[in-house]
Amino acid sequence: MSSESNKATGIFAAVALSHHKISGSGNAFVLEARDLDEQNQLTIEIAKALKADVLKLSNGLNIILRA
Amino acid sequence: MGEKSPPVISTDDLLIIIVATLMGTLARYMTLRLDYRQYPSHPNGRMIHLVVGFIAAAIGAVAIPAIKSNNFTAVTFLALAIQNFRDVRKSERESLKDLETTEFTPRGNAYIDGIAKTFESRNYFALIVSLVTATTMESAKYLGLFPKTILGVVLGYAAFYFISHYSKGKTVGDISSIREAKIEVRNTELYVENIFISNLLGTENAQKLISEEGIAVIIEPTDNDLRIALENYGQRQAILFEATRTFGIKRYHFTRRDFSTGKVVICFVPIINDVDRLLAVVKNTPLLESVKKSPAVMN
Repeated sequence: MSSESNKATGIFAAVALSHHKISGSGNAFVLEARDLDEQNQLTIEIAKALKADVLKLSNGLNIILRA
Repeated sequence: MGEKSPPVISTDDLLIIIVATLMGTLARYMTLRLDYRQYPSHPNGRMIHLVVGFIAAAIGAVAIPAIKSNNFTAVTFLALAIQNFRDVRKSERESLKDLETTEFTPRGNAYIDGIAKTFESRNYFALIVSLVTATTMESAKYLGLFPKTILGVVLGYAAFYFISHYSKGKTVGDISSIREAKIEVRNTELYVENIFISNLLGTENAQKLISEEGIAVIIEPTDNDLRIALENYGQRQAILFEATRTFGIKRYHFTRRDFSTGKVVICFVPIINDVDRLLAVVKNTPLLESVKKSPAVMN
């Protein structure tokens, strides 16, 4: 159970780096950042706009979602 | 033309109806508490319920004089009243469901059902109290005006006392111990006293917000059997609702269960941070009727 429970849930976007291989993203929007700083910056910008949460995977991929 | 028509209602009957209606309405007023839950809203919500309570009391009050005048069909009004009170429950439920999307966290269907049933049953309070008052006054009519009124009021209050105690529900505090718990942020993960809560703290802002302003409460059932009620999703929704409704919510709200110990964790970032009052609110959250389970009948 997380915040903004009255709104839509799901994965909205993923912010990847060049070494990430993403075969399919479904309806989610996937961005590729130049470096780690840009990845973090883009992640925050999208999460703020969507009022969503951020999940950092152990391989470095950032997923923006609402649970 | 010159013949005087008989009175429509005798003074005795009028007194019975007035006293019984007042007693019933008073019973409804006494059960219409406005506490920390701020529900029903003031003044319109209270006004609606007081008027419906007055009508319930009036139905109970006229039943005895109606039977006395051989007007037995008037008793069918009681059946009509029950239908009317069911409509109260239905309208209350619909009203609360309409508000679900505007609250910080939803009340949940189980809590709404409990509130709606309570509002329905409170009208029966008014009906029963006025009926008992009217019956007493009618039975004691040989005592005289003043003594029978006093007796009616006393027995009406006794009826109110009995049914209000009979229908009084328990609270979360009655079945569990509640205390504040320490929040810990480990990288992007949130823990409350080593119980994993979430891994959705992917940004520094989120980690900072929850570690600086977050608040967590641990609820431990006093008996293992009580876990069934406490861990019920509807019950946890009700607890979280009361907490966030009272203190607001900036961001994040979580409820988690620790299966090995039976602890239930509530964690959120409130607008107003007051731990003592939060503990009191969680403690006073009603134990929902729909989640109760008697271990005795399971054997």
